Amino acid sequence: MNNEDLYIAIGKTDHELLEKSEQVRNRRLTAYIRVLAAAAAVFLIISAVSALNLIRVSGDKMNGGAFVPTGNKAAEAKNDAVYDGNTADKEAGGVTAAAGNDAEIQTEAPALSPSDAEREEDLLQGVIPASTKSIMTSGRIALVSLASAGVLILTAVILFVNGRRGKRDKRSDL
Amino acid sequence: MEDQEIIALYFARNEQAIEESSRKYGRYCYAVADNILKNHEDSEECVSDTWLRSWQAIPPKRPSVLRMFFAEITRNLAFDRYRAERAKKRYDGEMPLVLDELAECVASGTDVEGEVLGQALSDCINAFLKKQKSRDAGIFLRRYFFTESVRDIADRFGITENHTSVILKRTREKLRRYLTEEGLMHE
Repeated sequence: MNNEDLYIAIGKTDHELLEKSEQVRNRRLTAYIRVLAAAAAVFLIISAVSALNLIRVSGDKMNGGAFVPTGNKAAEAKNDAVYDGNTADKEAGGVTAAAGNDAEIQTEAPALSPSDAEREEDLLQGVIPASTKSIMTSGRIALVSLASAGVLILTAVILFVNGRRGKRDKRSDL
Repeated sequence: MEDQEIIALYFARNEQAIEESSRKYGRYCYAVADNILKNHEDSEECVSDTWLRSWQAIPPKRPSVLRMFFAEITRNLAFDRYRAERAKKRYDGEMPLVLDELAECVASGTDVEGEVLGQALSDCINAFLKKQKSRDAGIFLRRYFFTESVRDIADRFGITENHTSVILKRTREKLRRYLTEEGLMHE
């Protein structure tokens, strides 16, 4: 018996065993692709969380914007009611009370303005409101994460396609 | 086309069987031959001869794994060609290395059964491989059946080339001991 006899004998190996060895794909490549896919999944989750945060923050801001005028209107209505009451008091004959109520009206009116004034002042000074900052941050994180996930997925696809092409080239006609 | 349909075509003596076999497994068989011969024309001829041999073998044979049936025929044809032509042609690649490595298994062994090798040796190798770990048996077959390079095997199994070589060496040692225990070789 020599090495060639042994080689020929190995050639008669059970087909099931041979097929089993053929089933093993390129594990190193598969491992790389899995790591890339996992990293891409993490980035996608970060992106999704940031996008949800973005929607929530911008929703809050929109709701807040709508609430303030309504609040002002309510306050105005309250003031009107007070004024009407004062008018009624006035009509009832209380001159002093009327004067007092007028003073109250005058002092109550500017009570809503400081925040608006501050906001205007901030805007004039170029200070970005905290809510806008939050929206910008969330947006940036969402975009960067999405882009990163895209790059990773693209790399995994290129690796996969190259692996397949390499195998096909090896098996194809020269 | 499914393997069973291709086999049915062979049994029906329909020549489309060869066409379908070539379409589905032509590249695969070429790779098997090319691993041994590393020569385009010779590998092509081996693949063509494979379809002729298959046509002659089926029926009566009904292969359980058609791809491996073709692979076995192609390998045998390629090896026959390698042996016949190696005096005239210089074949590079893995084949000389594979034969050198296998020589380690039989280096100092003396042939006990003489001509009664053949199927007995094949049965013994089959039994040996079934006793090995799935990975080790796979690595052994990739190297000594498919004549793949150590690097390709390492990539396939996700281990280093050095580790692959160590596994191959240990498996050869085990095979050598096994053949001795089975009485197919004497120390």
